Amino acid sequence: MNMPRSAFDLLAKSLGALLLGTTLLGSLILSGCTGGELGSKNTPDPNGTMRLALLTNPPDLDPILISDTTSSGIASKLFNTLVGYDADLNLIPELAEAMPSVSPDGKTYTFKLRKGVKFHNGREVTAEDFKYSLERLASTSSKRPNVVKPIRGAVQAIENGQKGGDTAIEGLRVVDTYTLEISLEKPYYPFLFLLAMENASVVPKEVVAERGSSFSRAPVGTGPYRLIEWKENDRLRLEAFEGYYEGKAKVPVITMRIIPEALTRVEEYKAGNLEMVDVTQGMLPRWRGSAHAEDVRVYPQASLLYYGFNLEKEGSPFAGYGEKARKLRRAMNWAIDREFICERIVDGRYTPANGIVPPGLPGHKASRPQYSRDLVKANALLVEAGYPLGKGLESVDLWFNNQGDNAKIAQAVQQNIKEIGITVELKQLDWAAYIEACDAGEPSFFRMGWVADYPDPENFLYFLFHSSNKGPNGNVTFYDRPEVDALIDQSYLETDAEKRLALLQQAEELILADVPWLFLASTKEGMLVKPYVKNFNPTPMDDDSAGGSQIPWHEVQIVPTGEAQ
Amino acid sequence: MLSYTLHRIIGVIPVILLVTMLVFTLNAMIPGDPGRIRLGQRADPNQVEAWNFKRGYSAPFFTQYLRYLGFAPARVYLDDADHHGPVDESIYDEVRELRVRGATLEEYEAFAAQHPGYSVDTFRDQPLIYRSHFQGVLQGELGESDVKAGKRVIEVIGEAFFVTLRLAFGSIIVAIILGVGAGILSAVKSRTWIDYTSMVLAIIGVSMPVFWLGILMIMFLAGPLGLPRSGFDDASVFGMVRSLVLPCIALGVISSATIARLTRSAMLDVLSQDYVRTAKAKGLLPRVVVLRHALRNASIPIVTVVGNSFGYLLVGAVLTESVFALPGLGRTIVESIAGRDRMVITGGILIMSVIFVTVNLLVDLSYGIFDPRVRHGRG
Repeated sequence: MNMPRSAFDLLAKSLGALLLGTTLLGSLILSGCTGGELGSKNTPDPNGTMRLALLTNPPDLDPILISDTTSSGIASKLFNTLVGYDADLNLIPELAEAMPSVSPDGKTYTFKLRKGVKFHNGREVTAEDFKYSLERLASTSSKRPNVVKPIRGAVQAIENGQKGGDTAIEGLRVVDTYTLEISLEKPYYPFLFLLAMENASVVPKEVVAERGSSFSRAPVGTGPYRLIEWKENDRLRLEAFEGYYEGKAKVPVITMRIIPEALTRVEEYKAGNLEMVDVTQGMLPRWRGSAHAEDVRVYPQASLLYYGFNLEKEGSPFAGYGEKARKLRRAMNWAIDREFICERIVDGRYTPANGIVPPGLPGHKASRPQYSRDLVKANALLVEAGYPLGKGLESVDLWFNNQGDNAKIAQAVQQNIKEIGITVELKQLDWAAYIEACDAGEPSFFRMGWVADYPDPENFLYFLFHSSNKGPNGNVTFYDRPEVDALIDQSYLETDAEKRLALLQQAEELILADVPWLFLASTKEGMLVKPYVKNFNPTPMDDDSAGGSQIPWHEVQIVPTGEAQ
Repeated sequence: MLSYTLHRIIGVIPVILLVTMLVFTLNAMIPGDPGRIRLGQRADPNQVEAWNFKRGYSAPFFTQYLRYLGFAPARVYLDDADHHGPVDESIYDEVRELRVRGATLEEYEAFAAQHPGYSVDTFRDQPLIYRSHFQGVLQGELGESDVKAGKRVIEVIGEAFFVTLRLAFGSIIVAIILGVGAGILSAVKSRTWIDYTSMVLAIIGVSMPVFWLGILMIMFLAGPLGLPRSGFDDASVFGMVRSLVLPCIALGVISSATIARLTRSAMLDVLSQDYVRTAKAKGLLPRVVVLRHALRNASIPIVTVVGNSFGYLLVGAVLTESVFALPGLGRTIVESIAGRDRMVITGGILIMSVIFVTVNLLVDLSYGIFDPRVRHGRG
């Protein structure tokens, strides 16, 4: 019989082709994995669109609800505040015409507003709008009532709000259309920093009333960009606002795609579909060594990493302020190889710390020497502390949360400390459980970090060391020194910037003498930015989400190579 | 057949109820007060309490569950109004109307005068009018997101749902073509190199994580094929199809492996039967023998495994959506678990289980098409 066998032969052939294809693909993959030049296309979008990637969908864009970096990075492009920061993180007027005049008692701030600033709906911003926007922060819908708390009558307003009443704040007074007077309960120097936070942005009352809670999904502000489209979990589209008070932004459109997977983001960047991207773990050296080394941007962050001791932990040899415990903690500080951690473990994305206030912030003391690895000193201190070669010390648990490089760093620290005879056991928890344990003072030795809310030493010293902040507010070492409290409290009343800074530096020195931490590192942010993106200069207050929040985005430009600037 | 179908549909209801109950219980067991998670760690305790009250989380667990189902009456509050006095729906609608048309102060005052217990400010100035989410599943209302202010769960899930559905259907088509194709070939050409290689590939496929395959495809296939690496382009049908090609292949290949192995053994079983020999002896074309006589009789286990795969595809979609940055249901649920958005978690899993159960039901019903004995209730 001569049967046509064609159908199966065809199938067999195509399967064969498939196999061949797979083999080829496999070899391609293998060759790709063994290295080769990093390919990365430098092709801007033909329409001049700035294409960014977000790691997560922003939870909220209503200023009073923002408490995460992704949302605040986007909100900073949509909204403005009374005051903001320049490139060196000095406070500068934003929607205020000039820095406010402050009354001699330091309690009353008078702001003259810029005239002609328009909301995206075209209406001019007045002092009433600021009063309204700040009072919203006191309502029960707000996530950040603390921002307005120092204002006179705010505590009352917050209570009223909880009872379902009016949240009018006594200390906010509209003098005339362009003048706003803010009186505080008592002098509070960092108040202007609070006003510079995204939460204190001005919003139009009529739009909020009309949109209700959906204002957060369709916000209207005064910023250089308007939100045109937001597809949840997918993308956001921002268009330059024609009427921006500093002139229309140079980049006409910003798109932000939500790409949760780090490898996918980098592939999109390499394919020329993103203008900037965060650097994934371990990629930095490879990019630095490639033809695209100039894409790499590393800049310091106003944040730090430390390993703290619970100073009130009963029974812990590491607790307390006695000479013995302090020498023990100091000995451990001398044992840590910070260079190795900063350069090897995290590819240079950390800087060894020499104190509490990180570099890039006012009040950072660059001249102070840092602890370096010196086992002779460490051992000598151990002897003085009464634990020669670590004898007499039981092993201690080092607690940390299971994110990023934490485990690797903890292992390095464990090894370093072991070399002076102290045994450390590692104890790893997930963040929610971890922070709960730390707040409750459970661990005696633990990893912790702090990211600045505003660029000021007070934001570190007050939250991390003032005795009123023990536990959840940030003082998880349970540090308690009346002298330090007094210096910090005094700094609030001081209106002279330099004298105030001196008080805070004095407090920092006192804290350093007590050695409550292993001072480890301040962090840096790493990004890849296409060379044709100009005027993009991140500050230590910018992280990589949504392209930073303090950058003047209306000035950022896309200039394709070869074209005149 | 009709009574069989009805029986099966009625049998589905307790399953879905059980799922909602389970998810609801698990949600309640996740550590963390919903109000505190929503408002932040340093939120004022009173504020947290007020939030929980408004969202109904301060009610006893069983009351919450009954309300979620819709057995407790729907209640509507005005935001920041006196929590102890629910406002009835007519007021809510009237206030909304006042706001929408931008009523004057006098109108608000007149309105407030008619409703003692509320101030003009409540009606006029409070930024939110709040509609309680306890409208109930039975009324077709999945509630309002705890995290995404002003979004209803159905809105959050709705868009994502259709993305995942397209992805799952695309993948199942890929899986069927590859799986059934390779399975038939292996069976027909059993114990030849084709059989061995396709089964080795199937083992690789079963063991390959979809996540990894997805990354490889983004790195090495997207560029040469000119396909988008990630994202979902819904501006045009063509764009949509293009953005789904790689994810569907990545996800489909994994399931196709299981299907191929099962198809092979089912086919081998049938091909050795007497009637197949008879059919061959009658001189029928091999194509006809294999596709009409053998495949049809081997199809019940195949259809079952395809139906089951659909469930696994929904699970696999979570990872696929992450790698390819697709705004699908899996990612939405994962995101809401991280953000403790209980209403979205419950709603999302409810929808997922409805799909799962429905697909299984369809699979069972489809047996009737392939096997008359089932159709006539003698199976």
